[in-house]
Amino acid sequence: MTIETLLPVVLALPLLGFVVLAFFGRRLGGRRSGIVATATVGAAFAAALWIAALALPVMLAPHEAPQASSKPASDSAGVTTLGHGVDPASAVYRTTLWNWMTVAPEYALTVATRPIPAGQPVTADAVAVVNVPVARVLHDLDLSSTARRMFSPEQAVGRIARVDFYPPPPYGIAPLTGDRVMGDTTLETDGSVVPVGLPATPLGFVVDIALQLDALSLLMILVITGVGFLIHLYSTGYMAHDPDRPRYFAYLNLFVFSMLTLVLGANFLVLFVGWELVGACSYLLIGFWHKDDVNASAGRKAFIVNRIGDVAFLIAMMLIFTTFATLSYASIFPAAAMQLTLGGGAATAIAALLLIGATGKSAQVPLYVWLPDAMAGPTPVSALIHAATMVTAGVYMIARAHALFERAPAVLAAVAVVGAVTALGAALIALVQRDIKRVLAYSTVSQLGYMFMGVGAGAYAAGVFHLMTHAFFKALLFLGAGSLMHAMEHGFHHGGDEAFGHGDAHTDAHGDALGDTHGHANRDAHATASTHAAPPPEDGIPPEQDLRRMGGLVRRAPITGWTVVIGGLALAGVFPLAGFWSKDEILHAVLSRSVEGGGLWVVLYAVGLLTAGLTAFYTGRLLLMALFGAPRSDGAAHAAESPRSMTAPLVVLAVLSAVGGLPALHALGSPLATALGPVLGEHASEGGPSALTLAVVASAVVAAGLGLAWAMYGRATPLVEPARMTDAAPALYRTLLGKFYVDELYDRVIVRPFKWLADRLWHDVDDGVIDGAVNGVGRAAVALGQASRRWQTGYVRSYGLSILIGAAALAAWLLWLV
Amino acid sequence: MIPLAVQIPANGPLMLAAVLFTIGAAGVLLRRNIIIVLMSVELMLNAVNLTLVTVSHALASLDGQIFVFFSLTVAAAEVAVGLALVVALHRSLGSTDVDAASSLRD
Repeated sequence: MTIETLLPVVLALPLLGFVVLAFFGRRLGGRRSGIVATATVGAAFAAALWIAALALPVMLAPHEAPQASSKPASDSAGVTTLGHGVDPASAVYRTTLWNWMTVAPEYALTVATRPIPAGQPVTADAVAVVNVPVARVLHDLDLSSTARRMFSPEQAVGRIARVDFYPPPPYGIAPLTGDRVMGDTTLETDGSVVPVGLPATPLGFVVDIALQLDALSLLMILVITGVGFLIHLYSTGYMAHDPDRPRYFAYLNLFVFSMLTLVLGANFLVLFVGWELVGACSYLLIGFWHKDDVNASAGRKAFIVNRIGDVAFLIAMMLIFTTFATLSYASIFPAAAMQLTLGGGAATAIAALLLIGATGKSAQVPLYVWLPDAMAGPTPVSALIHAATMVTAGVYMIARAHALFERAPAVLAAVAVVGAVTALGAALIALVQRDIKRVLAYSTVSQLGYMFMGVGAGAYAAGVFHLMTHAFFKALLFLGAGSLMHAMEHGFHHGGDEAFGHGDAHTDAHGDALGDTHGHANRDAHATASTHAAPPPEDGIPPEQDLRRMGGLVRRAPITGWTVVIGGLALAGVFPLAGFWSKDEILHAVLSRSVEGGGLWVVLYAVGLLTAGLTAFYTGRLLLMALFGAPRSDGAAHAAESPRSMTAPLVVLAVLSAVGGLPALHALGSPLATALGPVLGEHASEGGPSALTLAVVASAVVAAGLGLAWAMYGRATPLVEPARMTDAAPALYRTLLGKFYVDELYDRVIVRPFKWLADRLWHDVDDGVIDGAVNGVGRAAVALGQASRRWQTGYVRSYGLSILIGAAALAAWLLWLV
Repeated sequence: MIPLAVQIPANGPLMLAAVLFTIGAAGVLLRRNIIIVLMSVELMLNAVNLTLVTVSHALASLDGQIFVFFSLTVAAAEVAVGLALVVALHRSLGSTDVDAASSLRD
């Protein structure tokens, strides 16, 4: 099996699972649906591993020493990529599934009719013009193979004389000349028709459903299918009592398929298809328990906020097409340096619109508001979509399109600024949240901000590295939180009666309550059915998610507890867990940019460092409040460990969170950077600050954050009373608790005016103008009928007179006028 | 050579036809008895027939006369249908006044 044949298989397996579940899910039942879904995604993971085994030897082959290593990041991508001395195309695999959307005007190629010695001017009698449908001209630069496909094999190679376009090139693309397209190939044919010219970019709209695998997409598919498989496995336990499991697993499989489409696409349109599909899956899964109106509106919010970014992305795509006349990565990125002036209007517009698209999908300021609300979905969904994979799409896209971003340095800096603002703001909000899932949600937003800082600083590999480690530890934290909630729920329902055979009773209570309602809603039904009722939600937080009601859970649920500790410490960035390495790489890259980028990057570094401290603090607070100390509710006191299907993924993810930093270790030759380097055009930064110093500084900040958390929450009698902190700055505390009131602001500034406008359009424009026009036409017809019925007297003589007058008039016309 | 028939003056028959047609048209428009109206229509028809014959003769072409034969045949059928309608009208309205048959107006 080659990589090219395996690629569609990776895509097809989750799709197969989705199709099976969509058609036969009800018949299969919940348990078997879970098995089908888990098996297909697991098989996709196996295929991805196979691909990795085939591709990694090529990708990790030692490159020649970088020749242009000291070049600044603003240098063009094409030049620096080549500077590595290895053909970046060698580790890129492409496969076209379907020629789709081919608009095929013909255009003319000038070809030679007899051998033309290399380098000699071409005379008129030596060339002929051949019309070729554009569909046959492939959008790659491999001219000899393209020519071989178009003409017979032995005529394949020739020197390009000139290329004529018909119809004329749109959007000001100058006709390409030979030296630009082909270089100095010699002619080797016997004098029959020889192609001598092919344009680098086809005319017309040619988009294939094509897949592309390079180191970046390989990393992404491994994360998606690997973490996806673990989350599927976990879901079989977590959702064991939900009657809608077939639907749940169908959506989950569709999501995995969509995300794979997004990262495997070989052009922007396929990426966009995946981009939209993940948005749709996110909507479907956030509103999975749609009978509760809160969940349904959270789904709508996510979808609509995402749409704002998507529109920008769509416009960016159109601009890319008008600039490059193609959407294919293989044609766009090498040509970016040539087609886009550095910092020019086109480059800036494209990059800025792509950035807006990324802020929507990756939950950055100002479009981050949907992500915290997305926690309304089932917890494994939060782990898979809203922490590990979908939200990283924006980071992936920026890393993928870095060649375009590098033509617009201002936008690249804006990426970093957006990331820094988001990282700091979300971390501040996370400090005071009481709902365990909300803390994690804001933490996700904050960590995504980190990734944006990384890619904004031109350290794409560092951003992607943090994407990977974050996928591990944040999936772990969310799944762990779900497991803790599961444990708490159990505790609430079984009170002090541990001897009671809780396994059976648990299932029964679930079964009864789930007969007619779903998810969250049934928790209440549950509680009333049980003898030990769970307390009512406080501040709208369900009791099993409320950090104030947890405590000491590590003793009740040791596997979950200790894995969550590992995940939390990885998130905080404690040496030597995964988060430490990736966070450090990003901070290092940001500070290194200050050498030529100036003070802005120092400020961004400071923000990053402060955020690291805040992250350590809120993570420590979460761990200490949830897992240690004395139980603060009945639920926490009587919690029970979750089933093995849920704890097994936690253990695997904990291992990954612990060792996830290894691929980037310089001591091990940094295989991650080696593989990603050719794709992302990395530059080894020199003259920056010492990596060791920065690591020590960052670790000190993290230690300070964790220490403060311990001082406030770690002891029975805290060294620092939390209330003293809140009393010190009550306004700040309220603002943070109110999440900076951004939702309220958007409600006032956008949502309400929009609703008002919609209301006016409905009542005034639709009811008044449009309905008025339609009714007016009807009334006019009636009035016309009323007026004209006077003609119809019913008297035969008046009709006769009319006929006579008409006949006389006709006769007069015939006699005198003709 | 000028055809013989052209030299015969056609003014007399044509004027007669015009008079007959006018009388018929006036009858249609002014009389209220439906039978008289029908007869007036026939009068107009025959005025046209007369014109056709006259012109046919004047132009030495048989077309007009053949046309008149058809016209007479159709007129006979038309009179049969017309009289049947008159009978039906008389049955339903109880009168032969054309103004009585104005119920379509409402």
